Amino acid sequence: MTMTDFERDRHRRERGAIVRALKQVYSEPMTGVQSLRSVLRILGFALSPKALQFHLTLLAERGYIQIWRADQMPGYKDEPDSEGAWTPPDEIVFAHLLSSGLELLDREKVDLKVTV
Amino acid sequence: MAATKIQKLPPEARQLIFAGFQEGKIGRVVYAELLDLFGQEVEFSQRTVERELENLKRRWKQRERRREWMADLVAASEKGNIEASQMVKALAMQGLENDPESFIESDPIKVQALALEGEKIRLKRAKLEQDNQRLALDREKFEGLKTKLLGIRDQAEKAKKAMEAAKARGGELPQDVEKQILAIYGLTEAN
Repeated sequence: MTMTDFERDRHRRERGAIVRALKQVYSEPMTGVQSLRSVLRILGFALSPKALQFHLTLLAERGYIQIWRADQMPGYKDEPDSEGAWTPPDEIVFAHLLSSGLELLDREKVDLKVTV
Repeated sequence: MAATKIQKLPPEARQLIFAGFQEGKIGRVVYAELLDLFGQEVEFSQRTVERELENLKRRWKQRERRREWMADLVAASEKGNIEASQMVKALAMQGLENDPESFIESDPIKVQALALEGEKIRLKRAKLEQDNQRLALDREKFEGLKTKLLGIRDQAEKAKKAMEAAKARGGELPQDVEKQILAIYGLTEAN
């Protein structure tokens, strides 16, 4: 297994862990991404915010999860404050597992990009 | 590290710096007050105090900005925005998981109640909308009925005129038949 294969495999498992973590809170209409990150850390997946955002985007594009970005939140201001602190409009802040994501976990569906 | 030095200060000294920040004092003045309080024990420079004041200012602004954002979110939730209400709930859960102590201070029951209140308002709004739709439908039906009735009335008027013309020409209708016709159209002699 080359380094690239190893990395790829790790990413698939990280995505699987995200799907698994979101299943735990399936009954909630949405989960904060920071909460998700904490849970993943407990599960042994210490993802950087950037990596988590990447995986969430991919999972959403494949229809397994629904995501909400910062600019979808009422009161969001797309401008840095006087000190330069700023939440980018496209930052994913909430996520929710969809039924197709559950199908992955139930092995009713196989996706080579996600190892559950 | 300068910040560490300040963090190691006794609470009175930190309070003095914070009070200086709240009152908008400049670093030099706060530093002088610290010297008055602790004398030569102060192990850092005026520049360190100035930096600490700047840090406080920055952190305070960020905090205010987040509070404003949260206030807007809560306001949207109170107006019945279901998604905003779910976001408030998700943020409350996140707060509980990430920082239980501060969350307890911010009264989780109140936050949860707020989310529920938002949901209640949304349901009320949905019901109101439904009532309005029903009302509009009733109004439409009423208008249709009104048009129909006006049409009948128009016909009745014509029939009445025809009968009157027939009478004038001497072509009498039997009394009871005439009454029956008038009754069918809901007209009396006074009409």
